[in-house]
Amino acid sequence: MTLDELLSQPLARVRDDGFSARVALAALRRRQRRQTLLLCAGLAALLPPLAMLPLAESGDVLAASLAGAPLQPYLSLLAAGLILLWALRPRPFRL
Amino acid sequence: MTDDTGAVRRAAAGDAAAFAVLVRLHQSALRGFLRRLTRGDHALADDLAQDTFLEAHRKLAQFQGSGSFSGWLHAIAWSRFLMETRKRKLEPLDDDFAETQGAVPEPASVARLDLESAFAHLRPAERAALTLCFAVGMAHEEAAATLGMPLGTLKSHVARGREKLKILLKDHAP
Repeated sequence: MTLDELLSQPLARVRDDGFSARVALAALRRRQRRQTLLLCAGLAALLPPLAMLPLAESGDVLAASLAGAPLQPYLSLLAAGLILLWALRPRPFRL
Repeated sequence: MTDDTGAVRRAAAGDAAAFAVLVRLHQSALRGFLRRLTRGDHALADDLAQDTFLEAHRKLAQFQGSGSFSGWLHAIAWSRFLMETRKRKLEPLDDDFAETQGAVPEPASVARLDLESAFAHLRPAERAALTLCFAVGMAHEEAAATLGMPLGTLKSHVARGREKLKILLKDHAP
């Protein structure tokens, strides 16, 4: 066998042995970390404007109007349903 | 050579499964290339391969598709290997050092060497150039682009590497 023939032999096949899974998992974790950081940064950016809003007064007004509302049980159920949906949301929508 | 365009596009759009497919398709070639560059240090080669894939994952949107995806991956791997070599001072990279230190041992001292052992006596750029041009089957132009060097320099590395291997394997040849 000539040197060129020897050199032209393909590299020995390397068995995967979980390498691909480890890399894919590391990439996924990194992506999730990045998304979490972005979410935290977004929330942090929202905090200063929120501090400027008259939320206490708005809360009092909202509480008073909700207490007198005839649909109050339905609103509570709707809120509970939304919270449950958020908690049990499918995996692709999780951050 | 596989056509990875679809998988690359899906992976760049955030499809984790498509990225996993790309890793599975290219892990063997890339780890083999890095094992040869690291002179058989499997642990280091695998660490570099993982870093290469993660960097590729981060930069997938930058992949233009003008060259092959495999070539792009090998270019990242080569750059990672060079960074690691400089950081750890694994071996000399410059030409002068190898020339003055006598990188090619006497044939008598390297009898019974197989190709992989002989490769360990070459400079990194020679190992990379020979591997890409012969074992991986890249054209000289593509190999030069992958290694980020002028075509003439690549050809010099190939020629010098072949000469050294001829000497190293002389006693081993039938």
